[in-house]
Amino acid sequence: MGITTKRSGPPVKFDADKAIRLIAGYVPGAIIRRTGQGIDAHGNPFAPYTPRYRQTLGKMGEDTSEDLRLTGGLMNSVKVREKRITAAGVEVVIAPDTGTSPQVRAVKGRAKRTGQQGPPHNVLGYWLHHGTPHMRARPFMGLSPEQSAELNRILARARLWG
Amino acid sequence: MSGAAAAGVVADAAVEDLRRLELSMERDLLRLLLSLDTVPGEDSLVRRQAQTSAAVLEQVRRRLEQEGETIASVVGQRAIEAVGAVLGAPPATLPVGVREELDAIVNGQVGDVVRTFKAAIPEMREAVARGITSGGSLADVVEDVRARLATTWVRAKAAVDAAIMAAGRRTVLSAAKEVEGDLDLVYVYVGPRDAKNRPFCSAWVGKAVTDPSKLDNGQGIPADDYCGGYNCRHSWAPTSLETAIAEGIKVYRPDGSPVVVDVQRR
Repeated sequence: MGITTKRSGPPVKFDADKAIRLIAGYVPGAIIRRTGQGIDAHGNPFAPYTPRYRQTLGKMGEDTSEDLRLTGGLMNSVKVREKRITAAGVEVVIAPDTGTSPQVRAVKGRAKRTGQQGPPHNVLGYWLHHGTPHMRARPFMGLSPEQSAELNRILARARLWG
Repeated sequence: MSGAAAAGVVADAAVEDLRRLELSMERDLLRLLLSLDTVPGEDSLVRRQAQTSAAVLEQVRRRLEQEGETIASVVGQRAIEAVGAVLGAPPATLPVGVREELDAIVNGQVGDVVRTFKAAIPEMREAVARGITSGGSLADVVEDVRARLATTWVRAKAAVDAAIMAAGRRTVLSAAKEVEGDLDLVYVYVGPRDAKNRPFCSAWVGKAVTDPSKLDNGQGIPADDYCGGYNCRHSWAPTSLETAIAEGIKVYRPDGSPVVVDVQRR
């Protein structure tokens, strides 16, 4: 397939701000929704929780499906943290923030706040995403192939070059 | 510092502030209450009631009011300072309007913290008065006040946590709002489905709405920022209408009428 390049007239402009706005508007919601459906960034179901953790969730009266959510603090913290316009295009960093959420434990069959704060959301997110020696990886950050395709369609439709 | 990083700092500073204030308030109140027990070995407050009950009660009332006012003022002031510190280094990712919205959320929540403490003053005063006038033991009065203080702090911490959660949701929703002209967005209600859900959450989880700000969660606080209310575990996920329909997610307008779209024609 041939490629047509523009050789005359004013140079083609790339609307970097609009590209950033579209990515910032689409990606956090896509991550939150897909994770809530129990699907990882590769489009596969998350590794199941251990029977022990599932039992603990059940005792606390919590939903036991693999949605990486207990207080909701981690998923609520996923947002745009940095944006850059580079020579090659734009870079938008989307990640959990550095804040913390209240720590919750099962006490007498109820979810009870311990009075302590959990690890910072970005650390917790790293552990969940990559796994630890005691916990299977559940890669939730990123876009699934279908979501990447949708973002590409959105960017293509947005007339970023003009 | 980015907006998200700054929000994290606010959260941590607020939590640390509250922890310090909780310790200092408990220490001060216990010191005040223990000063009542001036006769060694005497546990009951009855004898003292006969002698100096009116004066002691007045002193306790004054001290509690004073403590409450101080705490309210310090919590409010420090929270505002924390927000000021963030806004002093403008979050690079957020436009001015969004920063103002975040400011309003946190300021509103500071008001809640202040109100929580103000509401606690008469409760604690009543506990002390009841102990003195009924001749209860000092240990009981101390325990009663300590329990009321603990409840107050739990409420205050919940208010701060709610502010941070609301600010997180607002950041995502504001970024989405900026592209509403380019994208046909709806907001999917994401989160657990269990018996702990509030009626609002049970009704909306797994569904989508075109404008969450117009929904009423029945809690007197905005449903777009707080979802089902304080400590809500749910989130709004901005999603293209096309994707929501393709995934079989039911989409509604705030008045409850369904959005029907012919995907073939889009």
